[in-house]
Amino acid sequence: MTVAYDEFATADPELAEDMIRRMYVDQRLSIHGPSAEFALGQSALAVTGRHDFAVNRLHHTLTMHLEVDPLDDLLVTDAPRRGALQVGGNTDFDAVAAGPGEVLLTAPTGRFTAQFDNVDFDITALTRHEVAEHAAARCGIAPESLRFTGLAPISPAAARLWLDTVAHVRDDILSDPEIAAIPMLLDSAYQMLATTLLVTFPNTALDATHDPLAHAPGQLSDTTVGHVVDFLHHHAAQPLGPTDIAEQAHAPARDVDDALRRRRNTTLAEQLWRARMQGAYRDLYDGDPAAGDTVAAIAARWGFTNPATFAVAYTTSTGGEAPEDTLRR
Amino acid sequence: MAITGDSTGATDDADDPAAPDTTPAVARYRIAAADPDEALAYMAANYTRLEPQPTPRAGFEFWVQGASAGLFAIDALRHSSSLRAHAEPPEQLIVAQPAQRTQLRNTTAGHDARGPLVLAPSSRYTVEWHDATMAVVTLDRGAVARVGAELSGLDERDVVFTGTDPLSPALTRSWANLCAYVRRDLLAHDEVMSAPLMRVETFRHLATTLLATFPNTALDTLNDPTRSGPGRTQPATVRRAAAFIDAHATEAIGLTEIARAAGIGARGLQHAFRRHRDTTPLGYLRQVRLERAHRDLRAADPTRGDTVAAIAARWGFTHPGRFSADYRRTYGCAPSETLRT
Repeated sequence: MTVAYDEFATADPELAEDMIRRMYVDQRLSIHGPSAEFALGQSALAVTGRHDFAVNRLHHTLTMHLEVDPLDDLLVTDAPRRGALQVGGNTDFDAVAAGPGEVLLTAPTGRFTAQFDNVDFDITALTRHEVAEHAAARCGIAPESLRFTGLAPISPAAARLWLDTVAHVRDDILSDPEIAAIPMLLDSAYQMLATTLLVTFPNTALDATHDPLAHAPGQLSDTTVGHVVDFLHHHAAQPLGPTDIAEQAHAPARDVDDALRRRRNTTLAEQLWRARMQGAYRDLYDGDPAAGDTVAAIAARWGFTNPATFAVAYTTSTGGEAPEDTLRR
Repeated sequence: MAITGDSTGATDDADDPAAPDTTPAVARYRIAAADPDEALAYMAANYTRLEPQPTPRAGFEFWVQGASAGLFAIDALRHSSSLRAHAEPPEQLIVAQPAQRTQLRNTTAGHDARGPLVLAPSSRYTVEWHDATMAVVTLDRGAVARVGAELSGLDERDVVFTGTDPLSPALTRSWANLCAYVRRDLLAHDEVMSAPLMRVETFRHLATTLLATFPNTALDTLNDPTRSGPGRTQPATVRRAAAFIDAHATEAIGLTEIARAAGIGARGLQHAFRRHRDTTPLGYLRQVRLERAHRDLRAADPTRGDTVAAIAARWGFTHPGRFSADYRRTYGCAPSETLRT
């Protein structure tokens, strides 16, 4: 494993935008801000080898709005030291915001929208597949069943733990060339970071270690719960009732609901609602008003029969985008 | 002895009989004694048994303040008097980081470890200090060996520490940084340490760093250029023999002892070594001893009376001229040059 250090600073907004597009996102990025007194700087520590991860710091005097499709295999945290950032909700996650001393996970699934105002913040990136393997080794879950269920830390203490651990890895290990040259220490730093991520943000691996009943007789396995959730997402366009759920789980729907509540902090009703919202979003995005697609017809296809209620719920869940806007894109 | 242990449990439902686990995640304590014998009794119970020369009682001050998470503990220790004592090899792994003005000296078989960071030896030793303030970390020896076994592919019984000085000043610094992080950001917070996942990961991180910091057989195996691929691909007899040599290089061992430890006849072992490591068991023993002597020469200080002859003799090289020639062939300079720089 090796560590690469990179430093970048500019007062030219065009160069800054170019750098952000190159390193982070090249989709639907809009940047506003005073070009007088403009400044942007980044220091990046990127580790490659047995584990790939990065600990960066980025500051700029811009208001930046971005909107991207799911980040490919990345788990990214943003922690402002200065300024504020807002992450819009999507069909999987509620909207969240963070100020100095706080941290957010950027949505690993669903579309991701965010706004950064005049921020100086720490960005940490780990790959999803490596964290899933780590979770499997430490918590005994199947790697594919790792799912993050919220974007905000489970408590202020957990947020502080994450910030302290990132600082330790960055300052005590990655920034010390003699220490960063020792593979077993880089490996240990990665494992510390991955475990801290799992205890900081709500996820299925953490639930498995917290849930004393997870392996008790009569309890639904995580695989079964995962299977039911997948089933809901695949069949959300059809009318589904408790008997359909019971058939999939080979257990009463009530037990599935209990297991979802305890392990994933959600319910059958909420999962079904999110699945339908996602379906509506996909169809609106792919739809073509010129070919006769309408918001009302697509909403009804996904079980939302009251257009006004749908419009409000949709706009809230996308963080401000109305169904008409999606359809017209 | 005045003991004020707040023993704050992270699980604050200790009164709930239905609570599955009421063992506190972190025990915090402050222990103080005005009597040197009580101080010794405390140190015997928690670190190791010391048989000291008499310590004057007047104005004596002793306290320990620390936190323990089961597999590891971090303490601050103060002992205001001079102490010179024979010490038993401790059951736990103990790392002491004396404060700037504290003089600490652990002596074993002619070798002095003086800090700024020292691992307590695994054989009987003499400890000496004057008015000591130090940070003391204790780690479960068996659990560290398991981490070492996982890293190196050695059997956990073969993972042993072979030196008591850190391998570089950078590692000394990184150990101090790590301990500050664990003490301040982890052990001080019950909510953090109440997650078993976090306690175990913290221990692994400490154990891995310890294994990278002080010489040991797991590290030798990881760094051994003569090793053909990962440790597991070598026959068990060769691995056992090499681990035995790594662990006992300081003792008067020969082919008979090595073969016995490997569980194979001397001829079979010679053959296996030749085939898998392109050397003989005694050739490997010589190479290990030369490496250790090289390490000690680099760490030594001629102004404190360290000499090439004494260091060479410590590693079984009793003929100074022959040692010099062997050393030069491997390291390209005279041992006296390494000692001086």
